[in-house]
Amino acid sequence: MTEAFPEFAPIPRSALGPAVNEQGYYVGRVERNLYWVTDGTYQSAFLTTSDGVVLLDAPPTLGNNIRRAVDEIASTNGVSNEINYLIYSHHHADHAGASSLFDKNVTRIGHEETRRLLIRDDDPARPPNEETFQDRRTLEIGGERIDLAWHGANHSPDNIIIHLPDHDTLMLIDVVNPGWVPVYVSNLTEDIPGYLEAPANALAYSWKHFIGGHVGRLGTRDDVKLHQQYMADISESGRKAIDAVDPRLYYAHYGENKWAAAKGHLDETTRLAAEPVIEKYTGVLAGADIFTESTAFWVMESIRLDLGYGSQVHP
Amino acid sequence: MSTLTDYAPIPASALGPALNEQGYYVGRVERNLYWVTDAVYQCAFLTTPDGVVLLDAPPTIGNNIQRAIDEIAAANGVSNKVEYLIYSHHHADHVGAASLFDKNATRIGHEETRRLLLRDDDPARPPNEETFGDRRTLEIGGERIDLSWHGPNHSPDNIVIHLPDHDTLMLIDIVNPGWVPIFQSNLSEDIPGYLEAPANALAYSWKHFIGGHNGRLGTRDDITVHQQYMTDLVESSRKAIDSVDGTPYYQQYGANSWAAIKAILEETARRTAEPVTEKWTGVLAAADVFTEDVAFQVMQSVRLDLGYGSWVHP
Repeated sequence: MTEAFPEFAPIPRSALGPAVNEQGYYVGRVERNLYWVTDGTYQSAFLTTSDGVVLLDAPPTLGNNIRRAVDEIASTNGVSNEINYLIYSHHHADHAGASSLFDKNVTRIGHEETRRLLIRDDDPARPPNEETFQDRRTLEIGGERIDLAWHGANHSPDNIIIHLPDHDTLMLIDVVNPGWVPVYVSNLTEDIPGYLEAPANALAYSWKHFIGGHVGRLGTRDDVKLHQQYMADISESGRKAIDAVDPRLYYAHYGENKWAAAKGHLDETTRLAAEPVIEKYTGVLAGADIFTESTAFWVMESIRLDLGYGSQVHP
Repeated sequence: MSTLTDYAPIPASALGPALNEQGYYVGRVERNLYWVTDAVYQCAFLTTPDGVVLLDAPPTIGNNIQRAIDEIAAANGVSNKVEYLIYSHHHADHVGAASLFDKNATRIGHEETRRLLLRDDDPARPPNEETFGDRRTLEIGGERIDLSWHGPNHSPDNIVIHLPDHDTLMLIDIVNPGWVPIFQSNLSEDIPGYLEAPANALAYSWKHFIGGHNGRLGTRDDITVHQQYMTDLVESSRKAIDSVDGTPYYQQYGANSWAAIKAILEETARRTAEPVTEKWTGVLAAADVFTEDVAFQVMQSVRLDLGYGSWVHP
């Protein structure tokens, strides 16, 4: 560490979830036989059924605590603790990297693009899913219904919606972090137009409980709407900032160093885009003072490159 | 305007020809293939008996594209009419001058480019009617143009444009000859695909490289140098991931998980970039401006795509 720890605004109470136990996890009921597990930063979920346990994601930071949480619930309820199914939300290691802890005979299910990316990534911790689907697939496991749907690229090209209609629950990872702003560059997102559209796709389903994959608590429909408003504010502020900053000043100053000019121009645009949004959301969404600028940068680039906003055509 | 940082001088090897009074330079690549630049962006065109084939239309060059074509067409006594426009990918900064050309011009690009342009709905970028999936060979006015898609890299739809009879390959927003990538690996969506793209380019036979940035054409050596720069970042990121201990950050920040993550990942990006910036400053232009940004994105892909350094809770 070379610098002192910077100080940030306090975390609003509304962002926090239940305390974790001595082993570093919390497990709780979402609805009926659907449970969620968190370590205060990552989340996964599981269903106990007559055909064994269906695990939804396996974040490595939860790791062996997933097994402990399943065992705890299974023994309390007198049901099987055998994990027979594992559904991947998407291919990233931080949400699926504990997959190899489970029996290699577990049926792994996910999008066909998840399979392609896991084969590419060739990581022994994440066995590729053998079971795939393209746009939609309904699973009936041990009498429980799980609807999988892909609405296009967003956070990653393969990120899916997992809807449990009989549990009033929707799981969509790395889009909305209830109570918190997105981490770096819109939750490290590849496709920003898809990311901006994803919350509306989620709200089009019927549900009460939201599992977002982060941070320490479950979400509600209001959390998804608040996130939408935050992102809409960033988009709107991004357009104003693009209009307000004159790139010629930077290109004139830096001469042949075009990349220095581009950095000066776009960093200033980002700063202007983020400023009013940080002010509005600090104390409302946790981490607004930490990551709004990074998210604003990525959104502003998408407004420029995808939407073509502010594009000046040389006369 | 906030205070402007000072940076290392630009190596002379990064610079291209001087621009004219209107702010562009046009030059021959090979035979009837020409390139145009404003010192930041680039496009290219072929003059053929069936009219001009334009490859990309960056808005910063804008109306200078037609001026450049007119200049060459008049000098050579050939048609100056743009009949075909090939899109490298959908981004507005490379094709945002597309609507300046005749709406009857045939627009050609990847099927994903069409899908994204329909989504983006920008009047400046009419969607290409002509599409292809993996490969397509065009024969226009006796000239051969091979289009191919090797998977997502900078964007999901970015293609390789190979002109085998002109010894030229065009691949946009991957390698900026003489310069490091800008922000976040040239603002790339798929980093594993971005890292693989130069090898795909080198697998073709060519001498001249059109990268879309900045002021000069490239050579095979420019691609190799870029590959080495990116390899250094990947290697350095693995060492940095191994060397940063997250524990003190989580202890310091308690419930503020995002503060801890920011501190951990920024320290990791800083350590990743440090030796690479030192090695490449004076070799690739702007290594001191953007290496840390590129390092961050590469390091995140090494963590999230490759799963490197993933710690499994015991």
